[in-house]
Amino acid sequence: MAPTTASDFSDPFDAEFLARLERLHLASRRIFSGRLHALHVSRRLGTGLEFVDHRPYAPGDDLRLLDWNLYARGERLYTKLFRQEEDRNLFFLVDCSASMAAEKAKWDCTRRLAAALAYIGLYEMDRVFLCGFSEGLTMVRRALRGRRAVMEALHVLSSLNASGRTDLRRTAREFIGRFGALEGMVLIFTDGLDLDGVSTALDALFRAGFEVLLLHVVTPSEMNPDRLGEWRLADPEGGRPHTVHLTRSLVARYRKAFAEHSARLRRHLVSRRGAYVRVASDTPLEELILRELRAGHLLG
Amino acid sequence: MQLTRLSATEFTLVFSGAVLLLLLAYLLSFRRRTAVVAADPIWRRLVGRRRTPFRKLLALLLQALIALLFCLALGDPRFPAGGARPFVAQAMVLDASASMEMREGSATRFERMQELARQAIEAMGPRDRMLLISMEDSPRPLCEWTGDKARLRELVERLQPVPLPDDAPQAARFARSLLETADLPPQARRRLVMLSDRFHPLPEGPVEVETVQVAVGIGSENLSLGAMELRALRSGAAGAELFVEVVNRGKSARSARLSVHTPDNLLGSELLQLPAGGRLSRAWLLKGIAERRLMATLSSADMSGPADGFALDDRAFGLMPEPRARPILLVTAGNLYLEKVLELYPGIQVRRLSPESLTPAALDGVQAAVFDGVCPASPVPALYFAPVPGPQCEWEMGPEEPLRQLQPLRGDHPVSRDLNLVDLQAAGARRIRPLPSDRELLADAAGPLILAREQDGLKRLAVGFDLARSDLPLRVAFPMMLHNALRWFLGEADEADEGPRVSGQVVDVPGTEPRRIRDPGGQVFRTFSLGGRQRFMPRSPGFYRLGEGRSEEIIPVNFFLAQESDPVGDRSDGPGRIRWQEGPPPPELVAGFDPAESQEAEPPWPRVLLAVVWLLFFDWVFFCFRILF
Repeated sequence: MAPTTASDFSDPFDAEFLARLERLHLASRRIFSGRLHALHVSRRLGTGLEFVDHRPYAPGDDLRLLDWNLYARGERLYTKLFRQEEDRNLFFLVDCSASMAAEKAKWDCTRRLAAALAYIGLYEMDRVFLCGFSEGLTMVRRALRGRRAVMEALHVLSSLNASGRTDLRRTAREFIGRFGALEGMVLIFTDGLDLDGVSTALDALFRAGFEVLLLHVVTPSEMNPDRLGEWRLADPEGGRPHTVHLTRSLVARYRKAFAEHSARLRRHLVSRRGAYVRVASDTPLEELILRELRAGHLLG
Repeated sequence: MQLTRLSATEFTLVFSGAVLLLLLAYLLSFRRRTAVVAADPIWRRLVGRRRTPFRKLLALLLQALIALLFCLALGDPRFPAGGARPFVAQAMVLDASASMEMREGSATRFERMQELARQAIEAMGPRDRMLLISMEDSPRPLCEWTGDKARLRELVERLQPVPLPDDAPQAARFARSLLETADLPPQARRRLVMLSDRFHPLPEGPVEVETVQVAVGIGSENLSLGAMELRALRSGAAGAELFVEVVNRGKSARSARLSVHTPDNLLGSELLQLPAGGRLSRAWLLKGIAERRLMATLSSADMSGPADGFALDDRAFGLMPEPRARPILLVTAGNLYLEKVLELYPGIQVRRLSPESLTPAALDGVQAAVFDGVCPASPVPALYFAPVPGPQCEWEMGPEEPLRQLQPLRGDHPVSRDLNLVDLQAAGARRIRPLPSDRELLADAAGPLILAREQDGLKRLAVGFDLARSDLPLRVAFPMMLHNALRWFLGEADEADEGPRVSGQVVDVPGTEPRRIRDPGGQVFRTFSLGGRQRFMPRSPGFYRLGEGRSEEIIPVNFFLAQESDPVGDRSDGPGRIRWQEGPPPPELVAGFDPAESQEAEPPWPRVLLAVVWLLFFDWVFFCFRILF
């Protein structure tokens, strides 16, 4: 089977790839409280499978939860406590600024990756919120749940348009204002080029109690530019083009600066129990999902 | 520092071109291509306010410096050490004309000139260059620019004088053009040296060229034979009249013996006393001589040696004319003018007939005919005076009318040469209707009066008026016209017009195909075709033999070149004019030469510099290639 590339969003996932996705689940570093019964361990105690503790029986407790073995040994009634298995909120924040569409491969890769992860979330019966952002939240889709919502999620992602500037601080502010009462996992798909706002936005999300997973989508030309000579560089998000004389040393300095930027994002997230994954747009999607994300313990 | 291979203009041009190319490349390097990059914020933080790096401008200056070094290396710069001097490029014109054979004392002028040339060559420094040109009837370069003294010496030794006149103006122009166009550095001294036995006017030119003329020898004495001519006797008698002219071209009276002889026998001699600058003419009547080749020789009074130091012009050559009696038929009713005038022509036998007794058989055996008042058909060249139209007459005549204003005679026809008939008087004349190929020699407003016709190789001449009713017989032009007509008829006109054959001048010979010819030295060559005629150029005086066997013709060629026989020539003083006979070379001739200058090895650093510059250049090109592409 030919590898499915991340940039090829127009091709549907084949059945074999979907079957592989169904065997995966998004790993959380934290435990959240859900609303409906699902597959994820919740902070609530209830009728799950994972034993947590005992407590003295109180009238009204479910008699099915009495620990009869303990009663036989000490003739005292204790009720077994289990971790409740509930659903989980997954917030997909997809960067829809113009810089994401500067290269088609980057934009397609972003959407296909989001679609694959959304598929995993939906398969796990999580509540998936699909949001687009650029200068703020530009699109918020109601929570999707269940496998039947996969097609809708794909449709939403494929209909996203990239334009405008990136303002992560405002986006975070608007997001928290809207979903701050909930808790869950925020997956941010971005190129991270809002250099001034990305740290602030991440801090705000952490403070709001979200677990943040940053998927840093980069292209080969961003990581390793090969242009030399006199160039007018234009920012796809606007602003006056500026002339740069690209020498080898300057290009080397850029690579170093870009690497430092990625490393800074990684440190920022890891130090706050978040997660960071750099996604190269030219990496095949299967390899990305099945190897790199699993190796980063983001998928289990 | 001096650039030895580039002039200031060339250096400026090359350097300017290189800098222009560099500037163009520099400006092209600013060619901006636009790229949309998502990571532009990172680039902006990285670049900040920087624009073109200073080092780029520095690189341009470095490149300009490299270009400067490159141009300097191309110019082969030399640092003049103490005593260093600009080298001399000397074009030396060596006179190899006949007059250089004049012997003065123990040596000829040519030998003295060779000695002077050798001294000039020896005085050359290792960096000096010389070019030798032989000045003969046309300039002949002997070598290219060279500093090889041995080769120059050998060329001077091998040079021989030729018995021909020089063409000094052409040689001077040629040498000057070589000097002006030579690829020499600007500081080089360009010098034109002419070694001759007299001074010549030298041309000016746009480039500054030193000119030095050295006249070798002294203005010695010289006797020469200025002319020699043999004429056939009248009426075709055997023998000839010999005319000889002797010229004393010196400044003192001289005596010499003039001898007339054949190759085998002395026919006679006479002691001549010639005043300074004087001429003496002598004429002999020669009869009963079987040998056609005649020579006149000047010798010392006692015939013990040559008359002077220049032997070429002391001998003249002539050919006894062949006795020929040419029968001419004259048909006239009794015009004595015509008869007597015809008898004046040497070698002519006139048969006279009256018009009534004229029969076609009368024209047999004659070479030409003159008809007065009649117009019969003639198989031989014929002159018709006042032809009467008739069935056999080829001329179409108009009615008789008075003469009007005459137009000048055409002088480009053998018959009308040296004639003037513009004031001719005649009672009346008939105009001759010309054919398209006819030549009108004399005409008035009413039409042609004298017409020349040449058809099918037969020559005709018609005069439209009656001699007896005009004043033509009383004019000097009358015998001249008849003689011209007879010479034209008999084919003698061209031969007579040629004059004496002189060495160095082209000689026409009969025939249409190349002919074998042997010169006085026995060398055989062939004539060349030019303008439909066979020609050759004799280079030495003497008898030339044309053809072989019974058809052999002998052509005498003389050395009648007054310019070469003049022993003095122009010896007037002036700038750059030096008279020299012997001794060390004149300072002007060797000015700037330094034979003691050591032959310095070519300094290696220009080549090293050139190599370094090339390396830098290629490195720069490679760098630009990487940056731009």
